[in-house]
Amino acid sequence: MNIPSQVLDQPIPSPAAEPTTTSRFRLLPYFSVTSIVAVVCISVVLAFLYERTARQDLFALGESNNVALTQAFSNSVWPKFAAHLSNTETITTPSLREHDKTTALNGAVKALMRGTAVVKVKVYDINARTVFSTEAKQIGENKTDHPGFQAALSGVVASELTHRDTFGAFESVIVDRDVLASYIPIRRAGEIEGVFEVYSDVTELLDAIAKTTQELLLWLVVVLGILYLILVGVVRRADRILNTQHGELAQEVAARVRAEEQARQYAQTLEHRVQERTAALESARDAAEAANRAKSEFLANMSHELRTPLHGIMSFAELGTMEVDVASPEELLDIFSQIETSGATLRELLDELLDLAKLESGQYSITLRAVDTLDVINRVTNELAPLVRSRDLRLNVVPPSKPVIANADAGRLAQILRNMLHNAIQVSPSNSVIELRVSNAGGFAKIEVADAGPGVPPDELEAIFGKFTQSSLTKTGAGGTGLGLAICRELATAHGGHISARNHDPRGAIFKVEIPLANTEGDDR
Amino acid sequence: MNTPPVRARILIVDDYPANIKVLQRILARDYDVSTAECGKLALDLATEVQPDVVLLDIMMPGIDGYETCRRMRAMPELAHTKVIMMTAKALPEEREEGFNAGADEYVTKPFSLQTMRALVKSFVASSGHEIRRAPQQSAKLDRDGERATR
Repeated sequence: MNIPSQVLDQPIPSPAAEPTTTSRFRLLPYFSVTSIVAVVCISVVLAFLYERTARQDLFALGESNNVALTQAFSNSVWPKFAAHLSNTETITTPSLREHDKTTALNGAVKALMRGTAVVKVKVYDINARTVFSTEAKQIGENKTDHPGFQAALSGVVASELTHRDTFGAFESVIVDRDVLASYIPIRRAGEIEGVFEVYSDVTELLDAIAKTTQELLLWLVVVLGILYLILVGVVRRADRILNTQHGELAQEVAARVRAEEQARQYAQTLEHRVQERTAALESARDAAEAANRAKSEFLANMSHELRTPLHGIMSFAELGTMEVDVASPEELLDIFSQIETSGATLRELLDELLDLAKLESGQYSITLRAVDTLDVINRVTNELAPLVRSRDLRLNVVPPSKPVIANADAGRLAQILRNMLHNAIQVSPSNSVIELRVSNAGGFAKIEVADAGPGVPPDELEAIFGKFTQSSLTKTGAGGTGLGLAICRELATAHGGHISARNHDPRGAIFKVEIPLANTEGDDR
Repeated sequence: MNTPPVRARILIVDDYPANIKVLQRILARDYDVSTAECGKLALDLATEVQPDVVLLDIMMPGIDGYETCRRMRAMPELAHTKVIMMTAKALPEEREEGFNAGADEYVTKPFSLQTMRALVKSFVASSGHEIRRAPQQSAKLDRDGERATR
């Protein structure tokens, strides 16, 4: 596998550096909202400040106007009426209202104030009595408690701006007016002789201020709005740039993360493959070693197995040679029969070897026919009956409830059974029972041989069917070549069946062979 | 006085009766021969007869020849006993295991009967069985002598 080294060399980032989880600061919305609020606040505050300043100016201006007019009044009109107005205690209010001097003063005041913003004039004596008013009905009212009057009496000018729904002006009653009233002390030779109250109509001036305020507000909104729009444009552009950069950064980081993930996967795959290869090599090595061991064991075993009957032949032949002169014919016959027996064993061994060689090279032919399994079983058990008796064993065949007809080569099936029974005889102790059961099981003829031997170690239940292998529990005593079960398995497989082993309670192993059933009449195929 | 020579005792152990039979035939003339067909029986017999030479097969059901030999070697009363293993196991490591188990000789099948007879003879000669069994006999002689002189 080809892995770019720089991919593998990249450092693995810590999870905290993962950028996709942090959201970008949303500059534009924050800016838009904040600056709109700022624009509104600034506009309102500026307009408010302007209006307040304007009103204060208006107030100061109006007051100084009133003072100036009063000064003019004091100089030109007051001297003619001072004596009269300073001594009115004895004159009743209705008389005062109707008094000639009052009418004359009214005319003089109106003449003086014509063309000014003054809409009303009142005069109080130092006892707070209204001694004159351009609105005649107010003459005689007492102003003792009025703070403006008290301030003027102490020598200070006091003014107040009030809104009047109706107001009695010189000529007529006027409505909905803003009026600035100033209380001004009248002095002669430094002495306060009375208090003069002048009402100026400042409605138009206030309207002008209000209008100017509105215009100012409008201009502020327009100018700040334009500024806002320009800034929004700038911010939006900055936002876009940030957005783009953020996107690029995120892509770069994602690409890095992908690359790292890929590198990790590469590394994993590589590791996995190395493990797989190693495992495969180890298993191949183990298999080769196992095969080699099995082969060595087989050769050793073959050597033993050949030597035993060969020894029988040679030793009895030597004995015969040694005793040919002294032995009786019966003794010689015994010697010869021993030689023959050993020879037969040797031939059987060679036959098995040949069988296995044929099976391994695939030169083995079987002819399948419908075979009654019980016939084959009876044939084999009859063959082995003498051996069973000689070992003090009992062979119990449990026949099927109805004939079990297998699709088999009778000779080869007999060979399988012979081998299974032979093994059972070899491992079973004296006076025990070997049981053979035949049954019909799911399309197979099932034949089981249960022995009373030591059983097979669980981890060897499969291995004993391998070539050259014998159970560790019977290797020493039972003899055999280790080929029998291997041959049985080859034969069972050639029939399309199988053979297996398991242990049973309380003691012993069960070998089971299954051969497919023959097509009987009930089968239409 | 001509007392018959003291016969050495041989124990033959093999699970294959024919092998026992043939060895018995060539050795019975000169020695007292006992036979056993498995390791357990061999150990019981050895304790009883205290053989001078044991001919021991290895591949037997139950206790095999190696183990039988090891157990014999652990028995003080068999300290003098010579063990000849006779087996079809011909691999060098099997031979080594035989000697490790305490065998004095290791003979692989097939072997010559005459060779085996000669081997047994030499082991019997070196086993000193006559001397070991002499004290009983000489004590008997001494008693006879005392009786004679009285």
